[in-house]
Amino acid sequence: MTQAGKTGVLTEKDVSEKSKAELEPGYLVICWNDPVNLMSYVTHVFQVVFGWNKQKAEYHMLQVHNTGKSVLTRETFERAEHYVHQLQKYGLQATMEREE
Amino acid sequence: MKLLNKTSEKFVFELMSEEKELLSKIFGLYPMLDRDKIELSKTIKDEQICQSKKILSDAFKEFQDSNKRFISELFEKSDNFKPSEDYEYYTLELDGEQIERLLQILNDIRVGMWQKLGCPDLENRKDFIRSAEDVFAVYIMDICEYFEYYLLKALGY
Repeated sequence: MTQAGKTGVLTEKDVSEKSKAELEPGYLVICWNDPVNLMSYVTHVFQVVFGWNKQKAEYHMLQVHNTGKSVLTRETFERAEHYVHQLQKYGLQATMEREE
Repeated sequence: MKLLNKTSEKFVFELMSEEKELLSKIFGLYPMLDRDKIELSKTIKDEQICQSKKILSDAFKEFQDSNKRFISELFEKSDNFKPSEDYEYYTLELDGEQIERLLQILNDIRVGMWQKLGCPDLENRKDFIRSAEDVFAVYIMDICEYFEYYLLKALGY
C-alpha cells in the first residue's frame, strides 16, 4: 500500500511508485516440504523471517507438511530474493517462482 | 541441557561438561550445507536468476564464515560459558541473537548430513543406512536435533 503524505493526498511520486510495483511481475516465495526440518523449527523461522504471529506461522508450516509446499508471500524480484536467502540461511528448502 | 533462567534479554542454560564437549565437536563440522546445491528457483532459468544465484552463493559463504568466527569466539574467547566449581557443569548465557545463530549452525549441520545421506525419507532408517559413515551422519543429525529441541523449547515451542 502506498503511503500518502501528511495531508492524505497522493503525490505524483506516490502514484508513479505504486504503478511501478503493480506493473512488475510477481514472484512467489515458496517453502517446500522435507523430512529433515523440525516442525517447531519451521514455525520459528517463519515467525523470525516474516514477523508473523505463531498462528499464521503454524498455518503455513502445516500447509508445507501436509501438501508439500506453501506459498509464503508474493513480492517483487528483489524482495522475493531477500526472503528466499533468509529462509535458506536457516536451512529451509525455499525458492522463488514467477507468478503465473 | 536445561534452561535455568530466562529474562527478556538473556537465556541461561546448564550443560553437563560432556554436553559442552559434544557441542564443541559438533560445531567443528560446520559448515556442512553445500552452497552450490542451493537453488534460487525451480522454474526460472534466466540470466537475472543466474546472476542472483552467484551473488547469494557469495553472501552465503560470508554468512557461514561469520558463523565460524562466532563459534570460535563462543568457545575460546567469550564469557558465555562458566564452569561449576567441580567442572562437572557449565552455564551458558545467550541473548536472542546468539540463540538464532546456534539454531542456524545446528540446522546447517543437520541438513548437510541429510544431504550427505542422499536426502532420504527419515521414517525407516534401515532403508538408507548402508555404512559406518551413514551411521555417523544419522548420529550427528540426532545430536543436532537434541540441542535444537532445547533451544526451541526455551523460545516457547
